[in-house]
Amino acid sequence: MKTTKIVISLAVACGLSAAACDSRPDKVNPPPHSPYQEDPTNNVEEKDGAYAGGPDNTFDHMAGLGDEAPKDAFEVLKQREEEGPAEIRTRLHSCQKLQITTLRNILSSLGVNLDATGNPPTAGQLVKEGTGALGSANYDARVGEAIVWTAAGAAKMFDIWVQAAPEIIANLPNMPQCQIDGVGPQVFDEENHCNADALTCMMGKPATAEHVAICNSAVANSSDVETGKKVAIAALMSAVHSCE
Amino acid sequence: MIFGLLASAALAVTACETAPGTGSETGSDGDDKPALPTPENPEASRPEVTHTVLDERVKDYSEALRTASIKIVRALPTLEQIKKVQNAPDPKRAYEEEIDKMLEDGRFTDRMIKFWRDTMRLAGGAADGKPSRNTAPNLAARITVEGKPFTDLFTQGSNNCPEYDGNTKTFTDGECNSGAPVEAGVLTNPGMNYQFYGSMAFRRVRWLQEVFVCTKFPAEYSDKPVSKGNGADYISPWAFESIATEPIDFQDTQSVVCANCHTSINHIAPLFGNFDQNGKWQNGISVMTPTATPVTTEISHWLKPGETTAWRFGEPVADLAELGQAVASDPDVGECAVSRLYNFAMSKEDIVNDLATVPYEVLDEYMITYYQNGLNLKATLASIFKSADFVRF
Repeated sequence: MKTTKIVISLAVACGLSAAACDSRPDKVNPPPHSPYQEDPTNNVEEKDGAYAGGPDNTFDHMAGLGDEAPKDAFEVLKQREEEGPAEIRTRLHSCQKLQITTLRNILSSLGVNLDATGNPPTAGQLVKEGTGALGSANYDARVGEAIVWTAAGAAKMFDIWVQAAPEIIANLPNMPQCQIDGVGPQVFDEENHCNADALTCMMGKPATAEHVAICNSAVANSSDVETGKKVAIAALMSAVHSCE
Repeated sequence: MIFGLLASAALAVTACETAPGTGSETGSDGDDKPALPTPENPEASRPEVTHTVLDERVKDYSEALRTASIKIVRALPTLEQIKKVQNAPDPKRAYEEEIDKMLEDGRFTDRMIKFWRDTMRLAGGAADGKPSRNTAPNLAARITVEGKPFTDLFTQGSNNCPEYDGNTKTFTDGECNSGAPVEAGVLTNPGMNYQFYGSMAFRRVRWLQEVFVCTKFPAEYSDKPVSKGNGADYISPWAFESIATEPIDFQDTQSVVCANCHTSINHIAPLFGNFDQNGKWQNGISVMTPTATPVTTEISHWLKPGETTAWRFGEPVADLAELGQAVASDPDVGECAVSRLYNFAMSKEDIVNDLATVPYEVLDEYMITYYQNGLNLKATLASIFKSADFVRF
């Protein structure tokens, strides 16, 4: 039964694919009417043919529930195939982008003032003005928040961590998120070495000796110590928080 | 199910092609690959895969705590929580205690509201005479957080449009007042019916199918496909002639076999047809048929005379309340919900658009939890976060 369904599905999918190609309007001679866009946020287009495809076409079906760019099922299938057998890939964690609210919560809990403004823009401003790149939902278009990063979104997040680093370094010891018995760790000691507990709090998991070594290396190898500290924290945060 | 099956088929092929050989059995070409079964040699088989990348994972409760905290309360664990799990004599127990606390945290309610908004593609307050689009996700989140049977989402006959106060993190009862003769969970939600208004109520049907069954149409398959020429098969169990031919010919087979999907769709859509463009139930059909000059849809535009509405072939339903009962009884709907939760925890992409299907081998243990706990999604989610797969990286 299952095999039958698979075979049938394959046949139907191939048929649909071929038919979809066949039914596309001729680029030279477009159909006489624009495809109707079923969007309740717009007024219904009250004119002949507003709802219909051209006479030589099937009705212009919506590609998806929302207005996001449609995905090629065969490209997606190819990607899943490259990831390996379903039973194995499904058991492995994938990489989901931080939700925008999560990013805001993390920044805030580590001492970043999301309402601060400045020139260049502060981390808070970058978050506020970058929600589109960060993959925010567009419910009017029936689209939920993105699950994975775009290149633009990931780059935006790196910028945010760069701008957030000085505030985190300055404020982290005072944040309840990072305090035990009312005392929080300094990010760097008097010799400009990274503190493991501070890194642990920032990353949300125990810092390893390698994390501390990378942090120390970034400070030591920078043009100056203060820049090195910012680079160290921004780099660690960008890497660790690339995935949920 | 089509894409899920497609994916399964392709991945099964891949699995066979990538399975490591042991060299104990060789193929006819003399290489190290074991023989594949053929009609002439049906007993041939490749050896079982004994080692996979799954075996290379390491159990890490600290890493799991970070991910779970971000998923459940949308925040990093505190330094105190991290230290507690890291230094606990029994890290598993300490981790699971933290999971239980997080699932009782008010921020989990916020997270579930967002989860259901994204899943349902639906949010926004009431304005300009338009209904609230928050109440359907609110209902789903409330059912999840309060541990009620998930199927209430389709059957709840009152208070099916709750409001949520983000400051106090509490729900308050609310009636949908959709105007429908009987309320039926999210099916009679005005916000949903407004958001997914479209020709012949097809978008509402598609929403129901894709969000809660996790597959695109076609949704039903016959054991005996029928050729319609040009290499196209009719695969639905419904009588081909059961759906309308005027003013839209749903029996058309020139480019695609419309009936493969529309036999199912057209038997459901009339149930949603009385909701108007603002999501309000009217006494008559209030959706349009997309002819050259749009006309108000009539029942004959969907179905041939004598046909009745139904959820699936052999499952007639007379109204949305009965549809809700039928949806609630469909095992695919429970599997879909649990699959979505699994994908949420494991950071997978969308189960429909990205083919992030969860195979039965993985899903089964969570389905058992789901059924043993009275269709409780919260208990199921807890079991996913405490599972052997979630705590391994």
